[in-house]
Amino acid sequence: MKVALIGSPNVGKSLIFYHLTGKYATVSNYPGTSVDVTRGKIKGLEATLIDTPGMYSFITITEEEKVAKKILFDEQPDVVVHVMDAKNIERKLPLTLQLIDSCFNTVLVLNAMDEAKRLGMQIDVDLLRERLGIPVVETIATQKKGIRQLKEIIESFRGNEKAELIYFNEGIQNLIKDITSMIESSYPVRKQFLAQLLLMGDADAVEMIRKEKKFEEIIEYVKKASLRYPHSLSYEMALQIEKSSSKILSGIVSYVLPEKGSLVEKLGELTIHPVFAIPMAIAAILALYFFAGVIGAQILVDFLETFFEDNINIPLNSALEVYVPNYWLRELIGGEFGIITLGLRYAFAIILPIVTIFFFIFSIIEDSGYLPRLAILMDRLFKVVGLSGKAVIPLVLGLGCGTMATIVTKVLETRKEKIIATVMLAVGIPCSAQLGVIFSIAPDITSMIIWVSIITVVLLIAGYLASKMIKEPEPVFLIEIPTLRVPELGNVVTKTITRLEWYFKEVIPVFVVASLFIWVGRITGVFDMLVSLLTIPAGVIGLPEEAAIVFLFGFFRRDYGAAGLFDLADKGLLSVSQIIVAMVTLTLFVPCVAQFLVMVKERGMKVAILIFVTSVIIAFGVGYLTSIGLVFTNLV
Amino acid sequence: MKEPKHELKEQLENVLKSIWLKVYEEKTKAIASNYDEQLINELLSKKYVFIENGEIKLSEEGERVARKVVRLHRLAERLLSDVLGISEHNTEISACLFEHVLSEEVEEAICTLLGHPAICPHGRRIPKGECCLEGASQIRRLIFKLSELNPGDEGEVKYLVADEPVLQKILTLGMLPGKRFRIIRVFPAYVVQLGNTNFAIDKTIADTIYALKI
Ligand SMILES: Nc1nc2c(ncn2[C@@H]2O[C@H](COP(=O)(O)OP(=O)(O)OP(=O)(O)O)[C@@H](O)[C@H]2O)c(=O)[nH]1
Ligand SMILES: [Mg+2]
Ligand SMILES: [Zn+2]
Repeated sequence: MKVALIGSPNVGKSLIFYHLTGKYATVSNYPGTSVDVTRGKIKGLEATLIDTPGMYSFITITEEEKVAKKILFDEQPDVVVHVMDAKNIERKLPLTLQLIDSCFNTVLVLNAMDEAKRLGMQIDVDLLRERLGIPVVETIATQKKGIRQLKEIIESFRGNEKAELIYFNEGIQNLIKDITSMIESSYPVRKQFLAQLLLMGDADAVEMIRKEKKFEEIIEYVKKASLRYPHSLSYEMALQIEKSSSKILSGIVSYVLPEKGSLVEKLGELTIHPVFAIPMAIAAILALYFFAGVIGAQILVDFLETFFEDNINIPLNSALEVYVPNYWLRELIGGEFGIITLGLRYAFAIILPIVTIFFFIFSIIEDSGYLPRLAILMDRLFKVVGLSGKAVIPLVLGLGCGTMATIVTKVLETRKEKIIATVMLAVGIPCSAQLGVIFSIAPDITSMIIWVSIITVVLLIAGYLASKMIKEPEPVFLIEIPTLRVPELGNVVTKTITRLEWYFKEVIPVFVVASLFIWVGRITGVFDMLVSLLTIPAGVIGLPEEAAIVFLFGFFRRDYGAAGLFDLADKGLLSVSQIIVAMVTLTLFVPCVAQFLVMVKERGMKVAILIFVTSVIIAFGVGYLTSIGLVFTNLV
Repeated sequence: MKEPKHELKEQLENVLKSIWLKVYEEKTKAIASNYDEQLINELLSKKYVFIENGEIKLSEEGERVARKVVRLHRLAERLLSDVLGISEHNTEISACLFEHVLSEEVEEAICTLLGHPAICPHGRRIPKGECCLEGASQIRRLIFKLSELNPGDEGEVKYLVADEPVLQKILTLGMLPGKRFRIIRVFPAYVVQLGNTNFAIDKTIADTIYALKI
C-alpha cells in the first residue's frame, strides 16, 4: 500500500512522517523546508509513506509544488493524507474537496490543534466527517497526539463515501461535461477532474492529455471557453470551489474567547516592526558571531587543534619515522599533507566544531519562524538585485552550507530568481566553515567590517548585473508568515545531528581523496607545478607562496580551503592586510565541488561553468583591488 | 413617458457602443448592413461615423462618445454589484439605463468612490476617465486598492485585477472576493491578516487587490 502526505507548506507533514515511520525528514518552521520526497515504511504496517514538499493547490507554481503533484498523478497513492493547519481550515478545505473530487481516497488531518485551540477555535469534527464522507482526525504532531489514531485510520481505510462535493454553476458544468466527453483514455484522476484542471489553465494537465486523439480539439475548446470569461476562468472556478467549501463548513467552526496573546506572539510582531526589526537582526548576527566565531572557532578549534597536534600528529609522525622506511608512504598518512595529519585534522579539529555550532544555531533560527520574517524585512532591498524577499531563505541557509542552499533555490518562483540566487551563493555567500574561520582569524573589528562591506558590495553588484542580464519580468513577493514558535530542543538536536551526518559523509571522503590527489601530485610533480602556477595570482594580490596551496585546497572544497587559511594564519605567516585580502579572496573564490555539481544539476552545465569561471576572476580581481585599497587608505 | 428625443439619443449611443466594442475589443469589423439604416444616417450626419467599403468606422468624436458610454456602463456595473450587492441580472438591466443618463460630475464621483476601477465585474477593461488620471479628489471613497489602506484598516476583498500567474498566486492563498482582512503593516512590506494567518505581500500584489473598506 502506498500512502502520500499532501498539504500546504509548513503544516507539519514531515513531522507526522517522522512519527509514523521513525525516519527523520527535515522539519523547520518556514514554508518550503522539504523540496524533495522522502519515503519510509509506516511502523507496524505494510505501507510505504511518502512525505512530499508543500503544495498550495493543484495549479502549481514552484518546482517543489510540482514534485508533490507528480507524486499524486504518477504514483497513484492508495491513500492521500491531506494535512492542514487546523486554524486555516477555511482556506485549505478547497484542496480537500478537490482531492475527493479527483477520486483519491482521502484522509483529512487537522494538525496543530494546539494552536487552533489557543485562538479559541472549535471544530465539529463529527459533522465535518459526515459532510465530507472521509475520515477526519485532529492531531498535535509536536506532542505526538492523534498519530496512533491516524495510523489506525490508514490501516482500516475503505475509501471515500462521496464523490462530488464541488458544485459549479451550469455554465461551467457544461464546459466540464463537454471536455470530459472528448477525453478517451483513462487517467489516474477522474476525467471530470482533469477537465476542471484543463479549464483552470493547468499546464501539467495539458501535458497529461497530449496523447489524446482529440488533443488539438480539446485545447481549442478550452481556449474558446476562456474567452467567454474575460475575467479568467480559473478565477471564476476558484470562487465556486470556495463557495462549495464554505457551505460545507457552515456551522462547523465556532470560536470561544481566545487565550491571551503570548510573549512569543508579541516578539513576532517586533521582528517585522520597521524600527525594532533592524536592531533585532543585528543582535541575531552578533549572537551568531559570538557563538560560532568566538566559542566555536576560537576557543573550541584552538583546543581541538592543539589536542590533535599533540596527541595524534606528533606521536603518529614519530611512529611513522620508526616503522615506515619509505618516505612517500610516510607522507601519505603523516607529514605536512597526510591523510591523517592534514585531511582528518582539518575535518575534525577545525571544521567539525565550527560546523556543529553553526548547524545548531541555524536549526534554532529555522524552527523559530524567523526566516520568513527576515524575508519581509529584506524584500525591498532584494528587489534591487532582481530577487524577491523569499530569496532570503536560500541565501541565509547558504551561510550554513552552499550546497544545501543551492538545492533550496527550488522554492523560488522564477528562473531569473533561481539563477541570481545561485550566482550569489556561488560567488560570495561564505559557508559556515569559511565564516567560522574568518570570524576567528579576523585580526580586529575594523578588518571584519572591511571584509563584510567588500563582500556585500560585490554580492550586490553581481546580483545586479545578473538581474540586468536576464531579461525576465521582475519577481513578485508573497509569503505566508508562520507562527513564531519556541524551537524544541529535541528537533533542534535531531536536525543538527542529521545534518552533521550528511555533511561528514560528504566531507570526509572528499578530504581523504583530496589528500590522495595531493600526494599523487607531489610524487609526479603536478602539485608543485599547480602551486607555482597559483603563486602568480596569489603574488599579484600580495599573498605569500604558501597561500597558493590554500587556493588549491579551495578548489576541492570551500571548507578545505578555509581550514588551510586558518592553518596559515595560525602559524603567523600573514600580516593584517594579507589576512584581509586572503579573507576576501577566499570568500569570493570558486564554489566547492559538491556545490558545483548541484549547480550543474539545478541550473545546467552552461550556467554552472559560467558562474564558476566568473567567480575565479571576481575573487582575484577584488582581492587585487582590496590589497591596493588597503595600501592607499591606510586603514589597517 | 420618455421624450422621443431622449430615446433617439439612447439608440444612437447604443449603436456607437456596439461599433466601439466590435472594433476596439473584439477587433473585428462593424459591417454597415448589420445596422439600422436610419440610425446610421443620423450618426453620419452628426459626423460620428464614416463608411469605408461597407465598413463603419468611428470618427474621433464618435469614438469619444462611445468610449464614454462603455465606461459608464461598466462603472455602473461595479457600483451596483460591489457596493449595493445587486444580483447579476438586475445589474445588467440597470447598467444599460445608467450609461445614457449619468452626468460628468456623477460619473467622476462614482469612479472615485470605487477607487478608479480598472475592470468591470466581468473582467472587461473600463476605459479611463479624466478623474482616474488626476487622482486627488474630495469625494469619500469606498473601494480602495489594498496598497492604499493603512495599518488597522479592515476590508473585504471585492475583486482582483492581475495577470494569470500573479492572479493564480493570490487565488491559491485564498485571497478571494468576499474574504475579510485586516492590514497589520504597510512597511517594509504589506502584512495582511486573513483568517488566522498573516501574509506579507509586496506593492505589485497589493495593487491588484481591490477592497471595500469597512
Ligand atoms: N504547535 C504546533 N506546531 C507544529 C505541529 N506540527 C508541526 N508543527 C511545527 O510546524 C513546523 C513545520 O513542520 P514541518 O513538518 O516541517 O512541515 P511540512 O509540512 O513538512 O513543511 P514543508 O516541508 O515546508 O512543506 C515545525 O516548526 C513544526 O515543529 C503541531 O501540531 N503544533
Ligand atoms: Mg516537510
Ligand atoms: Zn476615475
